[in-house]
Amino acid sequence: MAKSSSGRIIDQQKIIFALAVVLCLVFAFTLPGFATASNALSLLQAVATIGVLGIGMAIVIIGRGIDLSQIAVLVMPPAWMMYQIQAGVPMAEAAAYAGLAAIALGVLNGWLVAYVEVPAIFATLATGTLMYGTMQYLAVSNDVIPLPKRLEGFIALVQGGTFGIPNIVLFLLLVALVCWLFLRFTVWGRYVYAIGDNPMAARATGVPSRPILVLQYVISALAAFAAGVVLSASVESVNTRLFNSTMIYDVILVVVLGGVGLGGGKGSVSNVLVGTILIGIMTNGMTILNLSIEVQSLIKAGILLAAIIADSMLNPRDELTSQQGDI
Amino acid sequence: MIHSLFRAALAAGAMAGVLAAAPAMAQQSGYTDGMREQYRDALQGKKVGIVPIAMSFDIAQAYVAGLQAQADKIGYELVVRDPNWSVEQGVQAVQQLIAEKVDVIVAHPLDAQAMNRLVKKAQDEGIYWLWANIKGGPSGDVFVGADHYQVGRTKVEIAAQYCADREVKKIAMVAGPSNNQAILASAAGIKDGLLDHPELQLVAEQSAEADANKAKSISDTVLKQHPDLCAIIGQWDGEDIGIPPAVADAGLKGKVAVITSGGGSHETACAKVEDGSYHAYISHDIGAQVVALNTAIVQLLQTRPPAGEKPFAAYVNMRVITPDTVAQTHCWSVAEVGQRVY
Amino acid sequence: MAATDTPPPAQRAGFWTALRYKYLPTHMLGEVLAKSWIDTAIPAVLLAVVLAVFAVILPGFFSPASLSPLARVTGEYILLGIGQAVVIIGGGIDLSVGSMFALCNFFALWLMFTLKVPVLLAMVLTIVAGAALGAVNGVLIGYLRLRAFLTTLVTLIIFRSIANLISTNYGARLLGDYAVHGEDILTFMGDGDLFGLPASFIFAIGTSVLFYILLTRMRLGWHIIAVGGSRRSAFSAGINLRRTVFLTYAISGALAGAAAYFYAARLTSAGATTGLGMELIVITGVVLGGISLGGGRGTVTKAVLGILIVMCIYNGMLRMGLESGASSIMLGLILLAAVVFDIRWNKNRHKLLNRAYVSPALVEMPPRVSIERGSASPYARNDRIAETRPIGLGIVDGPEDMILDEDDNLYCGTRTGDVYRFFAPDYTRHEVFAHTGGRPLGFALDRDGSLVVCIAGMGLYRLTMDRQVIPLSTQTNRGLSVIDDSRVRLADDCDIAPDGKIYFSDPTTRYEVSEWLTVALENRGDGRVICYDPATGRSHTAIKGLTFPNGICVTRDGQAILVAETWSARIRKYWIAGPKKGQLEMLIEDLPGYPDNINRSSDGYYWAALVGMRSPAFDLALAMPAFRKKMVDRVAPDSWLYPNALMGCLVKFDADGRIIDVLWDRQGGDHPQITSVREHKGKMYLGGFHNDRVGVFDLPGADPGWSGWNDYWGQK
Repeated sequence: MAKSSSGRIIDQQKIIFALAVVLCLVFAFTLPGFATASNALSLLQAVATIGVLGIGMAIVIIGRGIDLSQIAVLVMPPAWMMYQIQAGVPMAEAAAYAGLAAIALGVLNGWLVAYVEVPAIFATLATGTLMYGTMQYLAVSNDVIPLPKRLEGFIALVQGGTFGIPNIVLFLLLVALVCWLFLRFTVWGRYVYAIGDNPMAARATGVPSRPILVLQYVISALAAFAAGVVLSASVESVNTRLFNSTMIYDVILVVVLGGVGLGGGKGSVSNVLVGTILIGIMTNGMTILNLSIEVQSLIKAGILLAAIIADSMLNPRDELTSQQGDI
Repeated sequence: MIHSLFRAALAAGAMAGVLAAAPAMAQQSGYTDGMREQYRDALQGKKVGIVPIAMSFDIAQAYVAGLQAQADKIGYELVVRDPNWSVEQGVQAVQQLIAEKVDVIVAHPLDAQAMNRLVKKAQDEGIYWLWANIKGGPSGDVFVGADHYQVGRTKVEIAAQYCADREVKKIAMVAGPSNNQAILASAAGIKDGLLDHPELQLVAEQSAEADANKAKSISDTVLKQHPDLCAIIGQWDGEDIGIPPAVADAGLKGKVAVITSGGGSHETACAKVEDGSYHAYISHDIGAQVVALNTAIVQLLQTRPPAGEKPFAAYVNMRVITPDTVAQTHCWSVAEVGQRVY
Repeated sequence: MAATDTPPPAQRAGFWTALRYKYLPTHMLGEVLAKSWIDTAIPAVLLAVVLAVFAVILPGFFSPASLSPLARVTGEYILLGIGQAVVIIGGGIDLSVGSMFALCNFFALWLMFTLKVPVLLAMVLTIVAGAALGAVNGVLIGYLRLRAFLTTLVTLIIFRSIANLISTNYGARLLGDYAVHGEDILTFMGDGDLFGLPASFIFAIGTSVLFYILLTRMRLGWHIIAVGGSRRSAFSAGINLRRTVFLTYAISGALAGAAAYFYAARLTSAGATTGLGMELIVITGVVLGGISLGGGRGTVTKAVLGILIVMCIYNGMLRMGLESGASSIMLGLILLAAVVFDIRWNKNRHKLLNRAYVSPALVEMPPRVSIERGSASPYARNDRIAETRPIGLGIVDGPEDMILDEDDNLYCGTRTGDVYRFFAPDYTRHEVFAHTGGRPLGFALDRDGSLVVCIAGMGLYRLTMDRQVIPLSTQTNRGLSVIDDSRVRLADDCDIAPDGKIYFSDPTTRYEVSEWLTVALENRGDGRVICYDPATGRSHTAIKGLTFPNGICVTRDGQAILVAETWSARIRKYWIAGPKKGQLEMLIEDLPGYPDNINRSSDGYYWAALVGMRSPAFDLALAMPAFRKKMVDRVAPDSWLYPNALMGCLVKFDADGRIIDVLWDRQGGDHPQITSVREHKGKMYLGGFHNDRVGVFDLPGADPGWSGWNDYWGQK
């Protein structure tokens, strides 16, 4: 399972974890105000959304897929939900409609990948664009939607804390726990690994591959929707322009950085948390250093590239036997 | 909701147009005041094209609603091309408008530089070029918009005033997307403003790339680092909406002034000043801009100067909305702007 | 009288069935699908549809003023599309094109406006810079063997960050005083036309031609396709995988540089959003054109067509002034449709082709004549072929036909492509007389004693007695058809007319020799008889539209040829000389079985071998084309209903079609299939397409001195 396969001593996850520790120490000694409890919480708070998206993405990637439609689900169904609430629809009803839209997209993704056998990259790229366009065309005419006043209670809940821990961090931990339990202790969770490890063998041994694939994408879509609702409450608005940003790459960064192999079958929720924390530390430290956002993303991408190269050097891929069409 | 309001505004505009056009057509009595015919003949049947940044935010919607209302009233055509945040599509849209030989092009560009060549091309075809709020290199025929440089300076003045009685005068800046000429102008204004106020200490300057979430996490971190921060200056309300929650999170609401600017619609400006999210909001007053744009169209099409010969600018008044002035300030809505006909 | 069984009247085909299965050229669908250009035709048709739609709903879409800006942008995208196509064909993907594009745009502006480098030099340098950026991808993916998707994703972020940094810090200053060294050229590049076409479009067309040649005619192109198609095979073939992969990314980068140069010239914009999301449009375009993800399949033409479609749709939708979101919906739907189509097409093309290719025709066979033993029918079964002696038992494999020379040596072909010679008198000694390479079928002896042989898969050949194999006819005139009918596919039997012209049959233009039974199933009449004229050395198609023409025999008077149409169970007569020259008439139309080769007999008649007997089931199936179509659609080929080809007889008939005699094999044990019979000096020799021997038996009452060569070429 998640144990890095076949006796690797050093793998990407360990490299990244070591890097995170080193960075933490360096920042702690050099940056005033870094090594404080409140900064640690604010650091986690800042990456909670990415973390939740990353966990959803990780489940899909473990099952040898990828979900590029996450950002569309992150912004559009919550935006639609806010429109409905503003127009007077009861909150629960609006949330249910929006949630159903997210689930529908997950099912569509899963169906395309599992039954129509479209490569996940393109299926989700297309459905994400479709979701964005459809919502924009039918319901969400503005890019930035301020949260309705009626949601004040919810906003306060999201922005508040429990025993000094921000609720948004608790939200991340809750999602992580649920997904960890799912992957670790449920039959379907084990099937996800089986499918990711060797789809053909999984099918041959009677794993219901196709329904499981659909389930993966539904989970990913739900994670994105939940993250979207929480995110919008935390900044008191929904910004649908996020769809056009490079945020999805940040999500993949978190997942891959933590050591979830894109080839499928490897990794677990803990990997994503490690990746998330590293990104959090880096972003936080670099913001304190007052580095511009461009330099920050340059450094992050550079570290990811280094991690990929290191992984490739330590665990070389046989270019001949690597699956045909596996890009 | 806003969408339907916007549609309602258009419908109302169209209705108003029908009502207004009816008497203009009637001319049985042969009465003339010497101008009515000129006004009508110069404008009726003409074609005005507008290429906004995208139709998905209030400023562009307000421009279109206001311009549409006048077009309907007088009886000329308004062609709207929506590039949806794409510089490339915006350029293509303008090229198409030039190919279609419209009479006036109103450009509200994401990247004005990309339009530079097109200005001359349009003018060579005898098409008047109007910049709305954001101006590129060539001045075209008319610029209508806020004086972004002055907006920048004013923000620093407000911050300086707010911080005057503080011991530590730390401020932070959350910058907007750097390819927008309006943002660049206001950045220049802020820079010059800071030279005038050396007592203000700029402790952080970060770009949020038009993303409210990034604005929030930047503010979070900066506030953790500098709990004694005095003010945060933002550049665009669309992303700065993420700053007040960060201030509230840090428990500093009312202690850290958030200063921003933008179109000045009711939801984005007045409401947010009222609830204490912003200490000051500098409005570009799109309502006034629409009136100026409509006037410019009417004037150019009647006087017909050679395109590009005598460019002029109409800088709208800066409206500084603060908790003290918000009660008297009128923020606009798309529906309202749709009724402002010249 | 002979009992007959005909299909019940209810099964008689009506007008629509006849129209559908007899007159409509449905077989052409399969032939079109089998064409290699069909993959390109699909996007071409799609483009035509898109253009037609916009022409209708957008007046003035085709005006030069409207098309010129579109073509200018499209030129840039075509360059990017070709680069992306090369990478995808090579088995990778390049997500970083948009970011490389942005960096190259800055670089071009910096060269021209800040450094005042001459404009054309700046173009070259920009392309080099693009290639250098692409080389970064190339080194990572080609030499360090990283995954293409993830790696180009990372370089997308890195290049984009650098572009943003440049834009933030230098964007406002990059253009300086707007002056360049070579203003006119720059204006031409960004704004100028040549023959009404924008500079970028012309450059893109030139590049397309270049890369078309590269991919189809040059070593590197073949290597790229090979690596994309199968890395393992390419490696085994000695192709340098790493360098090839590296080059694809460098090419993509260089073309991104070229495109960015035109963009810089067109817009002179140092905006940070340059090229944002471009990869999506480019990949959509090339996939839409039919470049298969995963590599190995695709052409430049397809890439260009796909890009044209996407750009037209984009531009058209922009001009329609749709509400926000509509273009995203369209883009999503198009991408989805393109990918789904690509996947399904590649997966099912062969299935579809198999299903569509066999196109059964409506054939209503005449009543079957009884072959009942003891009946009055001329075909009544008997045991006249009682005892046969084998020649070459276990040595020859599938002697479809054989012939004997004046010295009584026997020649026959085999499945392995050899012509064997068995030596008289006892035929125990043998040698491989010649090796042909195809499958030798029908023989004829020429005046000089050389053999003329039909070789399936090759054509008509002459084997001289000194063992030279000389091609006589391998192609005929091209007719009006979808498939290339100039090639001789399945030369089957031949005979030589007194004037030296050789007539030979080519039973089908649609199938190969191994599918000869499928031809029966289709029964569409796609065979022909070809005439080779030794005087000119050229061939022409003499008769067309025959149903598996097989045996050919020149009549004794030299005026006509007899043509056996195997799967129509009939023999026809074609006049090659005399007053009726050129006419084709029915000789025997109701044979109880399927005639194969025809040869002369010693008593002035002709021998035809029936390779198999008609059966009620198959006759009924022929009258029910819809049934056969369904069978072909739903049943595996080895379970199809085929005609019987394992029981036959010999029929002697005269030049007017009267049946003179019929000889039956008692059990069919030694000769399960008789495809040919040849009389020689009182003996009968039997060949079979699947037999393991040549059989011989004595024919009572036959002229023991008669030989074929003498009958044809002896003094008369």
